[in-house]
Amino acid sequence: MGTDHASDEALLRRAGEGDCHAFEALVRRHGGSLRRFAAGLVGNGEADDALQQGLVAAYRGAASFRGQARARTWLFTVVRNAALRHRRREARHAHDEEPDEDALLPLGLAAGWGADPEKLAVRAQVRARLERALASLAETDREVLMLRDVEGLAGPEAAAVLGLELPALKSRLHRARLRLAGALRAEEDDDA
Amino acid sequence: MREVGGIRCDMVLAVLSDYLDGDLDAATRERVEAHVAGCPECERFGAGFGAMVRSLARKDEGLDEARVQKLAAVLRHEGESKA
Repeated sequence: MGTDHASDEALLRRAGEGDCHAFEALVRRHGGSLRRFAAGLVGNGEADDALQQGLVAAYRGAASFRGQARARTWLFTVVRNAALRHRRREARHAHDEEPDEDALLPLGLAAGWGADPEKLAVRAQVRARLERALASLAETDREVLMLRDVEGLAGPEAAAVLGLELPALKSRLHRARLRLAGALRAEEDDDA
Repeated sequence: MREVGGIRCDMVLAVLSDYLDGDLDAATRERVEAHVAGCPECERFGAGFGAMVRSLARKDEGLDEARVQKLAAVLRHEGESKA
């Protein structure tokens, strides 16, 4: 049975029935996004291990997929859980789940609002600078930016992966974007 | 901080992501656009902010074949263990 034109959901159901090739097709389709997301959580050096653990867990658990969410959403959720478990094992970072109530105005000012905003777009075009700024953010900011803006998941999809309601997801995303803009400004200052 | 188009700068800042993501209702969207048209600071910041968000997108960068093959071998082994 071919895999090229099968939907993600059909492939995941076949994987649940033990079809390894169907799961491999999902890995080819989404592995790049999933690895980048894992790297955002555990760092590039640990991303392959975290991805492998996540995909093994997903393959083992594929039979439990009931289609309540899109298969891609489910895969991101399983890989996220594996990456967070991996990181706890590595115990390299403190767990950061503080509620995000930072006022928008200071975040906006730090992001260059009302100062030298025209430089923001130019800074963002330098990929390495953008990657460094992204890496400097807290995990909660980084993962929401990775899901929504880097990998292009829709709001409801990203909210489901992170276990948030949509309004909370939007609020977190907006603050994360402002902090990223602030981090880009800091990169500029460091380069100066 | 000023009011242009019936909306203040800080209110535009608060809804900038919703604006970019197309999540504003038509009336609020029109007010934001009227504000931005008359407020150079918000216009410049909004343009830079939007460009930054768009520049994050990564498309069509799949996993390299060596990683796919390594994962496939692990999964095949996992499948044999399950069987």
